Amino acid sequence: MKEQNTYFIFTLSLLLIAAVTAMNLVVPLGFTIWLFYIVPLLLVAWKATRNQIILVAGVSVLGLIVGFFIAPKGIDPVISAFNRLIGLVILFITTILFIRNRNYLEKLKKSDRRFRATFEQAAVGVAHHSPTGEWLDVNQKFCEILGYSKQELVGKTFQDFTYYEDAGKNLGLTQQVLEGTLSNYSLEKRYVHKDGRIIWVNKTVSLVRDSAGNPEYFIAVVEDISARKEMEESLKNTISALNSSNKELERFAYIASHDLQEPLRMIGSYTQLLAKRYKGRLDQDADEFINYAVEGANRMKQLINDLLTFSRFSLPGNAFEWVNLEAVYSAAVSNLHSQIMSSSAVISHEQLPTVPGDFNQLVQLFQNLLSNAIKFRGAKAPEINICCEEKENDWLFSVQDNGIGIESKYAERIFIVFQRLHTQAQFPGTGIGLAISHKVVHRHGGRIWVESEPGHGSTFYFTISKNMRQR
Amino acid sequence: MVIKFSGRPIELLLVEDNPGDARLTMEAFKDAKVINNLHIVEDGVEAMKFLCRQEPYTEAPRPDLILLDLNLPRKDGREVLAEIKANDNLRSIPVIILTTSEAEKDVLISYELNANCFISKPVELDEFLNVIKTIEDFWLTIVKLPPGGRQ
Repeated sequence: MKEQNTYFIFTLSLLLIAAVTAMNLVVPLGFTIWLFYIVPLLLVAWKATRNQIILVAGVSVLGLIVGFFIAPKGIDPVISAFNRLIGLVILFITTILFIRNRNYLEKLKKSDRRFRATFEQAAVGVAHHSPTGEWLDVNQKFCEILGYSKQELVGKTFQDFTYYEDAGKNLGLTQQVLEGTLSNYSLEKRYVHKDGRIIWVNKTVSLVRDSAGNPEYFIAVVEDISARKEMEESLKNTISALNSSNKELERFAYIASHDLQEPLRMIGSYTQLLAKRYKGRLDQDADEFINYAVEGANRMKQLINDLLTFSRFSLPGNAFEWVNLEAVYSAAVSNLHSQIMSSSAVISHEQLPTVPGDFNQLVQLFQNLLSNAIKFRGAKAPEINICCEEKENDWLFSVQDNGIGIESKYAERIFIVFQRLHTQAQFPGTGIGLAISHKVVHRHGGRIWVESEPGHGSTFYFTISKNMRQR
Repeated sequence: MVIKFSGRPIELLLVEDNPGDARLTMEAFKDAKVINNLHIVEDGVEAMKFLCRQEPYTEAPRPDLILLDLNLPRKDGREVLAEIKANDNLRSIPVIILTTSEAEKDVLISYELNANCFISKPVELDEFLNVIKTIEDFWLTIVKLPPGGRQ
């Protein structure tokens, strides 16, 4: 509303009132008096501010009252006063109505502006489209998502911009909403951006019906999820690449160690044959060389065998079943019979539970831990104590020994394949046992760690999940 | 002490593609108590030619015992075994499967194809020599083989 315009009308209204009052000087206006005053009020009500309306109304009232005194006394003063009183009431009611209407309109305008702003400035794309799909209105964000201007979009249908693979699905859902079988829908779909890119959006659509229940327009809220989709896609790719490379690696380790056996057997056999046939028949150097070759071949054989075992534990194992750890313990102890006898080891254990798992692998686990406890013994005969404790989701086991212990800085390294802390002369081995134990525990949904003080023995802890699910 | 000496040496056929293994077997049989002739062929096709006395084996003797590897080029051990056991003339020759495989399915299929025994080659030299010695003791000394030889 232009200020000048309203002033002009306002001034005109005041002039009219002045004219009517002036007219009162000569004409004794009767019952129709209010008609003359209502015209300026209508004028300002049409186009003026609320204050101007009130002012015009006030001046009109003043005019009416002044007119009563200045008008020529042609009619009965009581009737004249009554007439003017009626005019006053009509003016009053009209003013109130106009102001209320004005307030209402202003409120409406304000709320409309607010909604418009919400629509325009929403951080998500919003579009209204007709039941047939033509866009009636789109907001700024929506334009940004698609890369088109409002002018380019309004009048077109959403089908025009939908990626062809998603069009059918979208139309099907729209149809369901129109039929009333669905009140609203939400789907992840693709649009084609102006520059040809494919945009992933999450679109939530509801239908506005008129009072008769006929479909009027759809409200679509569109959120650009391209970044999320991209991330999901890349995550999926990464995981699948990781899985396949893991599998490949495991297969590689298995095949490599398996195929390496063949040439190794040749090296081993022939160096041994050389040693057998020619030991002492060549010179001393030759004997020494042959010895190293035989030893090297033996060690390599051991490593490859261990690698083969280790990679076997990486391959999908047997399906889990309920395994009684008492039986597992007995099997492990029986496998270690000669080692236990020769070292005079004393092993005690608490009552062990039944857990979901792979029997053979669990035997291997117990065997590895017990065998280590015996192998890395100090001067005293090994004393080994196996304890177990029930937790909420898993069982916690501990294998405590009185052996040489481990420095805490090596506590994590010992679980890595072929990592050793001692020379072959001190403690023979390849460093596979704990790596396998780690794998077994991991497969049983648990973790394994060690607490130790050099010279005071070690305690290996591990957990086994109560859950049947295999890792 | 040569128990089984009937005026002719025992004829052995070794089907083995790895010359190293073949030589090792040869070395092991060198020390055998029984006089033997070890014939070596490198694959299944050659083995069948040898057994059927085709070129260049027209003068080949009929083996008393066959040592057969399973994984061979061209025609593998399983096919050779099946063909031997399906051949009226050859089926009486005992066949020992001597292989690096320890796979259960290989053991099973060998026996299903009527192999006379299945032996996994040990990795250790001493064990291998021992196995060959045991084969010799059992198959060439204790067991009475079907009459055959050069016919």
